[in-house]
This record gives sequence, structure tokens and C-alpha cells, in this order.
Amino acid sequence: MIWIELLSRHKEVTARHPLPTDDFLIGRGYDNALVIDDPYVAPRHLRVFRDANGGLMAEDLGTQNGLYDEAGARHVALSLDGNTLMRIGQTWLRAREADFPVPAERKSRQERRLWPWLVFLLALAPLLQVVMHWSMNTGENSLSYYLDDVLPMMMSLGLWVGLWALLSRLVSGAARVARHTTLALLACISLQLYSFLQPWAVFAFSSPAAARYDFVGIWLLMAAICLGHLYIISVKRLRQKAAIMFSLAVAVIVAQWLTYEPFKAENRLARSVYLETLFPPSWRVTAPESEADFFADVQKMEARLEELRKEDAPDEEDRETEDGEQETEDERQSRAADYRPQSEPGGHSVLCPLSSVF
Amino acid sequence: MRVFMQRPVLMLCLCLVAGAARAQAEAVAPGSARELSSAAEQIFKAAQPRLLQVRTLLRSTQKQASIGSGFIVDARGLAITNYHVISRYALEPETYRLEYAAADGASGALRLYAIDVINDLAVVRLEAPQQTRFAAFEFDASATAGKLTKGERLFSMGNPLDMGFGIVEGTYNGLVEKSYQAQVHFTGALNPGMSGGPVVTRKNRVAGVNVSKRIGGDLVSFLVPAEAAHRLLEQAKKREEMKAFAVREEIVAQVLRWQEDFFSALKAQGFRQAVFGAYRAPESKAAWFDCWSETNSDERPKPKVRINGSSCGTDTGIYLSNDVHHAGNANIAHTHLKSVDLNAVQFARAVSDYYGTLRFSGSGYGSGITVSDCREDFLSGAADPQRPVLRLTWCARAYRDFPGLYDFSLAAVTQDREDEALVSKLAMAGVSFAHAIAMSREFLAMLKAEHDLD
Repeated sequence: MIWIELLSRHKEVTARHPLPTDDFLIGRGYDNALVIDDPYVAPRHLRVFRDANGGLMAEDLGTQNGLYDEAGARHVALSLDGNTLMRIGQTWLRAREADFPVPAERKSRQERRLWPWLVFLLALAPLLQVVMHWSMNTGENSLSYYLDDVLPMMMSLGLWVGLWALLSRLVSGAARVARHTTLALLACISLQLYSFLQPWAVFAFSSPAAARYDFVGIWLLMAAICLGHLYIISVKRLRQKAAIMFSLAVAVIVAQWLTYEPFKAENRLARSVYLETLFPPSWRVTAPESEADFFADVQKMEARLEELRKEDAPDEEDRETEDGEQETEDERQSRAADYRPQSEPGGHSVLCPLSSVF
Repeated sequence: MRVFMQRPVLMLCLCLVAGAARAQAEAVAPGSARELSSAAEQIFKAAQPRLLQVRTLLRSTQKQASIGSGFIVDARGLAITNYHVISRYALEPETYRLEYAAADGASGALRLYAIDVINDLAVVRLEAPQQTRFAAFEFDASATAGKLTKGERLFSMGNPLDMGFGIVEGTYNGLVEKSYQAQVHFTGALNPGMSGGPVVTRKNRVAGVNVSKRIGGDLVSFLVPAEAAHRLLEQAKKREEMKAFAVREEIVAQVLRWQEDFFSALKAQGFRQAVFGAYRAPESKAAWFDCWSETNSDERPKPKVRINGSSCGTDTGIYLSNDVHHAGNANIAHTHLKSVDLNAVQFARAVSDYYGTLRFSGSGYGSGITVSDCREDFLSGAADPQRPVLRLTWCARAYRDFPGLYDFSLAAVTQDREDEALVSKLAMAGVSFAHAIAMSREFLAMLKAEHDLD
């Protein structure tokens, strides 16, 4: 018995037909063993038969549109090994023998029970959110304070899962809501942990790099999360998907790095200070440095500032447009009164996953 | 987050000087023509020919970029005004030119002879034929000797807001207390445009020079003491016209010289160890530090962290250029935080809010100051067992026009307890780098923690 498989443009099997004979015809006409409704296929298009050695062959019956292989080369006759793809008209075909080897059965996914996990994560994510905000709260605790956090988080989570489920349904035919939700919750928790651990790392290791390039971690994490969702949708071509997500993340990181300019912000002073969040002193890891070393470094600043001083002043200031001393004086004073370099506490939001990035 | 110590302590430099009257000797003869009804009327009539409006014009457009006042103090045409009135011209003579306008409509160019940035004074000379003699103001002897009495009537003149010359009556109220710089407290309405104008006694003798007023006060104005103006005039008489390239060097030299005096005065006055919970921190004993304290203990609902702070500052505010008018300012602030009802993480977060706000003494925008460079790290207590581990941030920025002068600011937070911390800040403006570092280290050496018996 020979099976003829019809495939979609994405080379996924859409139909299978068992044909009992070793020599049969395929075409649009009803006198064929297999009828194909493709206007580009001839009434009698293809003959499939067993050759002298017992291998399967396909033969073009002299049609206008011909027989093509996967690489796009036209053939009069083509020998088939079970994996050979053929195209006639706009239809993709594959012929397989009854003894074509198939992989052993995969362990059923259903056996891994998702629901307990899902429920656990569904409780954990908001709880973590509440705990983290409680740890930062130096004022009164009130229910609304915490609800303000958790509700938007759950809503964005719902939206995020909904979009992936929709995509999933469109592409692979199944929404897989539970899987997407589980992943989204895990993603949410990892983003929360990141937003807590990143400032801690800055504090514990006195690391300016950890503060300045915190977005690198965020984007890599986001890429991994999206890759996870794509994996749920379909396990195929995982390597390509990973490559795409990774290059996207790298592109975004590079773009952000290029536009990152510590002195661009209005608040010049606060921006050049990297440590914004303190933790309990016992959470430090690296040893403090000596005052002599610190001021030896400070001394080097003199030369750097001298370099800065010699650079041309920024041209944002247009000295020629000031029209009267009274006005500029007033303005200067009000500026002086308002000047208050203050760092914005909390670099990025802990809300996840949508709100933290998009 | 409330940041205290943001008192309205701003002073406004009034770019205001009246034009010195051109001294076409219409030999003032007080009381000659007809009886003058009031003192002010009489004084103004006599003073008018000696008043000037000092205008800085943009060379490219020939329009005024700033205006002030001035007054003639020498028969050969030397006049006094404020440094801040002529600073643009002094620093950028290719871009600006300096001109005077007298009450009688005469006008002409001014040349720069001497500056004193510390007292905000400048001496200029009117361009005129050699033999021209000008009517000039004289200095009041008791004013230059600092012997005026509080309550004495003074008359300030100038050209407020470019509306024409005018006279304002006011009262001498002595020197400003809590000020390192000698500044006369004058109760009277000074307005922008009057900067550099004369303030005279009933006898029409100079007792001071208009310079600034307090924003947020009523009629609280400041004068440069007559003595400083007199001294600068005597120096200028012996000098040639200032060369453009020499101006910046001269300014830096004056500030650095002033600074030596200031730091030695600071050291001579000494520091006291103020107590903040388990910590000791330095506060200057000098009377010219204006100190304020603040607490949050009266807040409702009851705060979860108790915050007590003190903040001391000098408001010298030396005007150097359009972008730098706060040189010489110094601020010391300590904030003590003690947890009432917060765990260690929450408390650290509360401390961060105080620690994060680091500011320089005075304002700081504009192209005249570089962006700041900072160094931050944790400092070990090292040899001193009483010195707690500190988280220290140290920032500085340079003045573009004045090489060798910097603003610096440091913030130190103690890192030895989980429920108590002291955030100490020191900021100074317009100091040399060496002084900045030396002062910082002295300051840090005075931060102490009491050790519990452990």
C-alpha cells in the first residue's frame, strides 16, 4: 500500500490517501486514483509507480505545468524515498510506503498535570508583587495601595496571554491557554525578581555597570519569554525562532545603548549617580574601599573635568536672544529656586510582563 | 519627599545702575534757584548729572542685552558700577560692548579699569576728551569708616527697569548678620536696572552701592559697603585700562584669594560635634552659617521613620558670570533617620530617598558650568574605630570660564546599622579642587558613630 500525503504551503500534512495499487494516476479528472482540486493541475498529471528495483517513481504525464521538486527544479521523472516532496500545480505531495518508519510514541503531555502549577503560580505572582511593594513601602499600608499594583498586573497578564492564545489558535489551531498562562506567570515572576535583584546587585557589588545596563537583562529575559510562547505554539524550527528572538533582543539592546547618554537627561547630577536604592548594610557583598583610594580616584576627576571644561559649551544656550537683564534675572532666580536634582526612585516598574516593557 | 533647607534665601542681583550723569559741569548749586521742598528732591537734582545708565549692547544687533546703573566718582571720568552689570562685556568683549547714557541724553563708550567680584564692583571710565572735567560724587566719611547708625535715612538712585532715573528713600539697617561678606542691609525698594547706582546720605555723599534684594522679602535690599567701593576706586586710579584676556585670570585670582581667607576663617571658628542619635557630625561654629532644623515628628499619621535634620548654609553668592552667581556658597546638612516601625529593607529604602538627593550649592544650568562628574562607593571605617562604614557620593563640576574653580557636593550615609542612619551632605561652590578634597576629608573625619558595647 502506498500513502499519498497532501501538504500545506508550510509543508504540514493536510490530508492522507491510502492507495492500494502500485501504479496509479493523480490529476484533476475523475478517472484518477487520487483527484486533486487544483486548477493548475492537469486532468491527468502524474503517474506513481514502482520501478524495476522496487523503488517508487513519479512521472510527469507531459503536462504544461510539470513536476517540481522541493528545490524548484523541474523533472520528467523523480524517484521518491518517502521524504521527497513534489509539487504539481500549486499542490505539494509526498508518497510513502506502508512500512515507512515512524518515531516511537512520545510521552503524553497530558500526563504532566498543569493545573496545580497554574494555580500555584497564579497565587504566587500577585503575592510576590505585594511582598515586594510591602518591602519598599515606607508609608502607611492600605489595601488600595496593594490593589493598585496587583490589578493592573493581572490585567496586563490577561491581555498578554490572550494575544498569545489568539496567535496560537490562528497558527496551530489550538489556543493552549493554560500553557501560555503558566509561562506568562513564570515570566512575570522572573521579571519581578529581576527588578528586585538588579538594584541589589548594584548595591552589593558597587557595580555601576549593573545599574547602567539593566536594560540588557530585561530584553534578554523578554526574548526568552517570547521564545517560550513560540515554543508552545509550535515546536517546529525552534532554532530559527531562537535566532530571530535573540537577534531582535540584540537589536533593541544596541539601539538603546546607542541612545543611552548619561548626560542627556535634564537632571544631570542625578543621572551620573548610579546607586539609587540602598539595602540593609548586611546585604553587601564586596568589601568597602579605603578613603585614600577613593580620594585618589577623585583626584583624577580634576583632569577629566578640565577636559570637559575645554570642550565647546553645548549650543542649546543661545546667548544672543536674551532681551533684557530684568527678564533673565527673574528667570534665573526662579530656576535657582526650582533646581532640585532628585533621582526618580525605582528604575523600571515591577509590573509584568506587558507594562514593564511595552 | 520633602526636602528641607529649601528656604527662600535667594538674592536678586539687580542689574540696575543708573547712568552716571555726564559731568558737564553745570556746577550744581543747591538751593540756588528756588527753594527745594524735600530732601529727596534736592538730592536728586544735585546728583542727576553724576548718574549713569550702564548698558551692555550686543555688537551684532546694537541692542541692549542688559542694563544697570553707575555713578561718577572722579573728575576725570571714573565711575563705579556693579561687576554683574558689566560682566558680559568683561568676559566677552568681542560679543558685547559697553555704553553709558546720562540723564541729559549724552552717551558714549565705557572702558573697564578694575573689578572686584567678591564685592560685585567695577570701575569704568567714560570716554571723553582729555580736558573734560566731570562732576563727581564723594564718599561719605562715616560710611567708609562703617560708622553709620541704624535708622539713618539713605537715598538710592538708579534707572529701574529702564524707565528713567529715579530716587528711592530708604533706611540704613547695619550690616547683614550671619553673613561672611560685609553687606549693608538697606530697607528700600531696589529694582532691576538700579544695580550699581549710588546710595547717598542726606549730604549727597556715597554710603553704598545698590546690588541686590531678597526675593520673598519686602523692601529687604542689599548694598555694597562704601568702603569697598572707595578702596577699589583708589586702586583703579593707579591703573591702566584692563586687558580683555586679563579679566578671567583676575577673577579666578580674586576668588582663590577670597577662598584662602574664607577657609582659614572657617578653620579658626572651628566645628562642633552635633549629636544625631548614635552619631556625631560636624557643624561650623561660625556665626555666618545660617542654620535651620526640621523634623517630621509632627506628621500625621505617625511617620514610620523618625527624621530630624539640620541644615546650615552661607549665602555669599559671589556673582561671576551669567551662569555662575553662587560662588562662595557653602552648605552643610545632616539628616538623621531612625526607624520606628520599618524593617531593615523598608528602612534602607527610606534612607535612599534622602541619600539620593544630592545638590550643589546654588543653581546650575547654563553653558557656563560643565556637567558633573561623580565618584561613589562604600568607604571602610579604616583606622578610626569610631568612623562607621559610609556610602559616599562625591560630585564636582567645573566653571568653563574660570579654570581652576569648581562646585563640589558630597553625600555620605552611614552603613553600620539596620534601623538608624545619618545622611550628611557638604556642598561648596567656586572652590579649588585641592580645597574641595581637603575640606571633604576633614568633613568625613568628623563623622563618628558611638559604639554600642558589643
